Amino acid sequence: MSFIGENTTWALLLSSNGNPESRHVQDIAFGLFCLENAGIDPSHIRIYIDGSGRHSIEQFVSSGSHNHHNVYNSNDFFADLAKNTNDNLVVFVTGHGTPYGIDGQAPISPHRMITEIKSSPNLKRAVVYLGQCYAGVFNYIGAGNRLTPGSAGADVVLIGATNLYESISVPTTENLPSGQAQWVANFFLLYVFKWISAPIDIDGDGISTIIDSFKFAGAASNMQNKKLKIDSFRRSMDLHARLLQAREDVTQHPGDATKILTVTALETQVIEELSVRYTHQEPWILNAIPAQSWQI
Amino acid sequence: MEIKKLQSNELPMIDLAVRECVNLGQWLLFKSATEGQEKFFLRAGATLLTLDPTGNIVHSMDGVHDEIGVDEVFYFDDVLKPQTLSMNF
Repeated sequence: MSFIGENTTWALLLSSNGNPESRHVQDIAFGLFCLENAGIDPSHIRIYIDGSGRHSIEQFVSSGSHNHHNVYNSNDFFADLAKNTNDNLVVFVTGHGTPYGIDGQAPISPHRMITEIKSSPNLKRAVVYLGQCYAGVFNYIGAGNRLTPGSAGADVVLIGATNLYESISVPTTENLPSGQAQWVANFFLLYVFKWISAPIDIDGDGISTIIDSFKFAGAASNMQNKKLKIDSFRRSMDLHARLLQAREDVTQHPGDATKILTVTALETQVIEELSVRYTHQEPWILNAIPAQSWQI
Repeated sequence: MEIKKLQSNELPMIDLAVRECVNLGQWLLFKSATEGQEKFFLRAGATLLTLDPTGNIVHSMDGVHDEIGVDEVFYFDDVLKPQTLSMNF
């Protein structure tokens, strides 16, 4: 079977408690671009983003496609699951995560996610890519059907960007239909999206499968992570020196809003560099056996 | 949404550190169609700053402010931008 060739819903999900950060919406826009670039019919792509700033959200999403896409809320994702008519579902989750699940007005718990997917009518297969922090809370749950063949509910593969840690987002520059965008991207998800738009048979079995997407995105993000940490060490030494000077400038010119902003900007960069350096990321996959034969 | 490029000298009152945050995608520099072409907005974490055409801070607000939509996003063409995350091993 092949997800792109069959009846598949491609869902981009950004649930949030309040307005989402623009970087997460930009993850969605990039995902949209890659899915359409892979030849996926735009009408099979559904976008779910919470937040009251609908105009800005839709503007960011539109940067990823020349096609018009409606943007729904996360509650609509579950409503759509309940009336599903397709065989397959692929979900990409970005945004914040906590040990209780995916950030939302109420957190989306692992139990809710797996239960509602398995309760979805007509659904045979589902893949859920989880990019958020602490994605590992979705691990070790009853995703597959292998142990009880013929059991009701879809066979589900879960792939997490990281285990019981925060997930890493890093600055990147990528080409989108609206131009060259620069944002702090969830880089595991970014590599998943890039793989889908240009699949690579990592394990050499002659087919590009979901397990290849996991291996590629995991290896690529881990390699990039090491490089980032090395670069971060060098950059943070320079940033530290600049920050000390900037703080001295504020001391000499108290109340100067421009100099205060400079200090804030440098502190932001220092925190971002240290956050990357002190965060470990280890991707995982649950229910790997069907993932070895499900072709993209 | 349009993505646009600026030269640093088009907003001379913005410090290099701020321009770096913009180019790294950590802060968002934008214009809003409903707020007039002369104003820039800078989303710096939880703070939304209004800037005049030279980059001077005119006003500072905390919070979300959905009424100020993002219609044009700006980056600086003469400041280092992040590298594209490579597909190659």
